[in-house]
Amino acid sequence: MSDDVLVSARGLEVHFPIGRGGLRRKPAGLLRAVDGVDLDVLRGETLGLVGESGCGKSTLGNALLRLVPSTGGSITFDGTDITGLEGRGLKELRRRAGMVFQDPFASLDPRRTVAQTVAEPLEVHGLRKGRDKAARVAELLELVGLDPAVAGRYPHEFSGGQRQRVGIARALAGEPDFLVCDEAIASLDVSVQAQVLNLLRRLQRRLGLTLLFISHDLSAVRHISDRIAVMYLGRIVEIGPASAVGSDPQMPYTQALLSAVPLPHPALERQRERIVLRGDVPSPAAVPSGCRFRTRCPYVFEPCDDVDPALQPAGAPGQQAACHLHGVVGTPATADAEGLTAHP
Amino acid sequence: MTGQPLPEPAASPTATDAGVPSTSRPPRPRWRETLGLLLRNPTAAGSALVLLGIVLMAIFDESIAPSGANQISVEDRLQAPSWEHPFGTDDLGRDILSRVILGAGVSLRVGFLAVGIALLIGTVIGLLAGYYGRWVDDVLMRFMDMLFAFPAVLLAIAILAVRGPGSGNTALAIGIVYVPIFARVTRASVLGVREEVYVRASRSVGASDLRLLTRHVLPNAAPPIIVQTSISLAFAVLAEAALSFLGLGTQPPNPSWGLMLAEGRGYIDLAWWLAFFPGMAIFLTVLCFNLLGDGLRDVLDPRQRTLMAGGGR
Amino acid sequence: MSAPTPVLEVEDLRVRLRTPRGPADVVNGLSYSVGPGETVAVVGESGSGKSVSVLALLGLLPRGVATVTGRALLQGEDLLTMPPERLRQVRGPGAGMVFQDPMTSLNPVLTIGRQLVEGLRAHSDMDKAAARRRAAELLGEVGLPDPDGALDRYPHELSGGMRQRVIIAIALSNSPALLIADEATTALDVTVQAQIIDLVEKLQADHGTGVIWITHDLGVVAGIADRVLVMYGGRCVEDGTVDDVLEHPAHPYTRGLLGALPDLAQPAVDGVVPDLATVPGTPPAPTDLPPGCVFWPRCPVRGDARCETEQPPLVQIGPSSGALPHRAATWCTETSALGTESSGEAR
Repeated sequence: MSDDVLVSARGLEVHFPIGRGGLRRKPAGLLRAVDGVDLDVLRGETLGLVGESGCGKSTLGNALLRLVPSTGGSITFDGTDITGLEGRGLKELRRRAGMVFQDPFASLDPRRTVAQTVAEPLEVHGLRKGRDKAARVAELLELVGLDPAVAGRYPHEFSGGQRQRVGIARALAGEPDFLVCDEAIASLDVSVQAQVLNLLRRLQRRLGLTLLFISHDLSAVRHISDRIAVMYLGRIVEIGPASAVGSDPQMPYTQALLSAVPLPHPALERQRERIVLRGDVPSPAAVPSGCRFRTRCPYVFEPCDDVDPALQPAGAPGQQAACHLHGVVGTPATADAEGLTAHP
Repeated sequence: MTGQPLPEPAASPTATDAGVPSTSRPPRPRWRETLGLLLRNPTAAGSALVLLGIVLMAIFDESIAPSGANQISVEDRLQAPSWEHPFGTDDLGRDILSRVILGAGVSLRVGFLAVGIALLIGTVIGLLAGYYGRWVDDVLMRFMDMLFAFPAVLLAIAILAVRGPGSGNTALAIGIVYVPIFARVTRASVLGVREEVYVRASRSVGASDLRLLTRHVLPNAAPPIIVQTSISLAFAVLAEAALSFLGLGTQPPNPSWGLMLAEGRGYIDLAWWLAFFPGMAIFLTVLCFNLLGDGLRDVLDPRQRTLMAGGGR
Repeated sequence: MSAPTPVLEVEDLRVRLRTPRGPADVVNGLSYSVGPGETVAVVGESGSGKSVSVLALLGLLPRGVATVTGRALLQGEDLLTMPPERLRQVRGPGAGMVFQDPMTSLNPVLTIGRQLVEGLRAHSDMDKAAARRRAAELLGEVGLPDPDGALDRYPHELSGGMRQRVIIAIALSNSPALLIADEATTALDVTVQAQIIDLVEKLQADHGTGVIWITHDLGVVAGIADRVLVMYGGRCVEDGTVDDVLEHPAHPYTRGLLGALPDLAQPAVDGVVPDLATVPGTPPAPTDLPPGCVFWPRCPVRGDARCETEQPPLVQIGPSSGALPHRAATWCTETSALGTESSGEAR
C-alpha cells in the first residue's frame, strides 16, 4: 500500500437484515447499504462523497470509522487493518478519527455545557487534566471561531452554526488525522453554510487534516473537495479530481446529478439541458442485476443487464467511472442476485 | 439566583465571526444554581418548605408531640377537636395530633426506604435493559414482567409473610413491588435517549459504555424517573397504610398515618377527625412530593433553566 | 408577464406574534402581486418571515397569538377580512398549498385515493365514482406511474418524491388560481427536485396558475421564478425580475447571500477555489429589530448614522431589464459604493 493513503476500504460491505423481528428473528431480506466499495482516502486531501438519500454514503462514512459494523471486506487506517479492531486499538482509532454530524441541534448533549462536550475526548483519552484541560478547551473554541468565554453555556443558547462549530471543536479535540463530515452543513442556512465550509477548509489546511466530506449538495462538495466520489445504491460509481468530476463527468448518473443541480444564474438556467431521470432509485433491498443504474440510465445497452461494471479509467487522469460506455469491464451477473456481492 | 438575561447576539461589538457574545457568566456551583432556580418557582418552593417541615417534625417528634403516642385516657375518648386536643382524640382517648406527629417518622421512613430500593434496583435494571437491548433486555424485562404480573398487594403480603411484619420489612416489600415500575419507566426513556445523535457522537470520540451510561444516557433519561419517584413516594405512603390496615405493616399500638386512617375508618360517621387528620397528613405529603417532582424536572432541564433564569423577558 | 388582473395582490401585510419574550414583528409591511401564470419566489433564511407571510394569508396562524393587518386580495376578495367559513371554501379552489414535508401533509391512515376524493368532493357536487376517476386523472397528470393502483396505496408505501407529487395533485385538484409552495422541494434529492420543478412549470403553463415559491435556495429561484422577493427581518429588502435580482443584486444582504453560495458554474481560479464570502453574525430577533436598516448590525458596507437610525424605503434603483421595477431597501443606492464583498472570514 502506498504511503499517501490514510484510509482505505477493499470490497467493503455493510448489509442490514430487514423485517420480521419477533421471536424467530429471521431476516426477511438484506438491505445492501454499502455493497462492495473500494476506496482510498489520500493523506491530507479532502475527498467529497456525494449521492442521493439512501445511496449509502452516510453508512460508508460510519463504517470507515467502525461506528457501524461491516459485514464484508476490509478497512485499513494508516497501514493497519482495523476491520476487527477491539479494545485499546479501537479506542486509539476513535482518537485519531473524528466525526462531525449533520444536525447540530441533536449532536450535542443538551444537559452538558460546551466545555464539557468539547473536553470529552480529552477526558476519555486522558489527554489533559485540570487547568491544562480548560486551556485546551479554550484553544479549541478559538480555533473554530467561538469566544472561549462561552464555554460554560448550554447548547440551546447557540444558533445552528455556532453549535456546529462546537461539534467540530469536539471532533478536533483528540488531534485526529482523519475527520468525517456527515452532511455537516445540510441543516444550516446558506450564509451559515458558507461560514462552516470556510472554517473546515481553513482547519484542513492549518492542521493537515484528511477530510471525508459527505454531502448531497454537489455545489458544496465541488467547492471544498480535492477529489469527488459519487455513490449510487451502495457502490462508488465515479471518482476523480473535483474539477474533472465536477465539469466533465464520465458516468451517466453523475451527468444527470450534475445537470439537476440548480445554479443561481437565471440566464444559464434557461438554456440548460436538464437530464431528467426516469423513476425512483431502486430499493437497496432489491439491487438490479448487472449495472445497478441500468433501470434509470438513458444510454442502457446489452452488457448493462448482465455485467456488473467495475471502476475503470475514463476521462481525465485519475478519473474512474463504473460504466460500460468506456468498455465492458466487470463481473458477469449470475442468475440470482447473490452473484452481485462478488467483486473483482 | 440572579440569572442574567441573555445578551442579544447581534448587538455585541466584540463578537467573533460566529457572532457569539463575549459576556462571561461567573462560575457557580451547579447544585446551588439548581436550588436557587427551584426556590424561584413558588409552587416548588412552597412544597419544599412544607416537606421540610414534615421531615423536621418527624425528626423531633418526641419533643414536639404534646403527649405520648400511646397515652390512653379512657375518659377523654372520642373527643372532637378542641384547644386541649386540636385534632381530637381516638377511641382510646389518645391525642391524635401527637399520633400524627409521631406517625410521620414511620410513614416517611417506609416511603423513602421503599422508593429508594425500587429506584436503585429498578433504574439499574431499566438502564441495562434499555441500553444493551437484545438478550440482556429479554432476560431482565421478562423477569420484571413476572414480578409485575403478581397483584401488588399479594406480592407484598407474600414477602411479609416470609419475612414477618414490621416497618423495615414493609418498606422492603413495597420496594420490591415497585421495582418493575421503575425498570419499565427507565427502560422506555433510555430506549429513546440511546438513539440520540449526541450518544453516537460521544461514542465516536471513544467514550466507554460506562461513561455513556452515566454522563449522557442517565441524565437525559432522568426526567420521567424523577416524576415517577415523586409519584411513587406518594403511593408508598398509601401502600404502607394498606398493609398496616391488613395487619402486616406497622403493628398497633405504634402509630403510622396509614394505620390511623385504617383504624379511624370505622368511626367515620361518629368521629370524622379520627380518619381526617391522618388522611390530610398523607394528602399534604403526597401533594408536596408531586409538586416538588414537577418543579425539579423543569429545573433539571437546561432549556427550561435558561427560560427561567431569563426571567420575564 | 405581469398581466392586468393579478391573481393575488398583497398590500402592506404585517404580522405580529405574541411571544413570551414580548411582541414579535415577524412580517413588516410586505407588498407584492402574483399574476396569472407568474411565479414569484420569496427568498430568505430561517426566521426571515417568509413562511409566516403566506400562512397569514390563508388564515393558518393560530388565532389570538397572531395579529395580521394589511390587505390580500385573492381574485378581488380580501383574504384577511374573510369570515372563516368562506376562507375554508377558498383554500381548495382558490389557493392550493404544498409544504416541505410530504409525509406530515398526508394522513397516514387513509389511502391516497380517499384523501384526493375527499378534497374533490368537498368543493364540488361530484359523485364518488366521478371523483375517483378525476383523482386517477390527476395522479396521472403529476406523473405517478400506475395512477389507478396508487389510489389504493397508503402514503408510507410511496417514496418521498411520489408523495410530494400526490400533495401537488391534491393542491391542484380544484384547479386553484394560486399555488403556494413552501420549501416544497427542500427535502427532496436534486434529481427528484428537477422532476417536481418541471412538473409545476408544465402544470402552470397548462392552467395559468399563479405560483408563490418560498425557498432558501437561490439556484431553484433562478430556474423557476419570474419575479424575486428577498426577505430579511420580516421586510422585503429587494425585489425585481429574477435576472435583475440575481445578476445585479443591489442590497448588501442579497449580495452576501449570493456570495455565500458555492457556485458550480464558476469554481476554480488557477486551480484554487477561493473562500466563500460570508455574512457574519446572525439575523436579528423579531422581538428586537434594529430601528434603522434591518441589516445594519451585519452589513459589511454599513455607512453613516442614517443606516443605523432611519429605515430605508423600498425604492427603485437604477435601470431594470424587464417590465418590473428593480427595487431595494437600502441607503447604499450607488452600486459602486458597495464595492466587492469582503471575501473570507475577517479573522
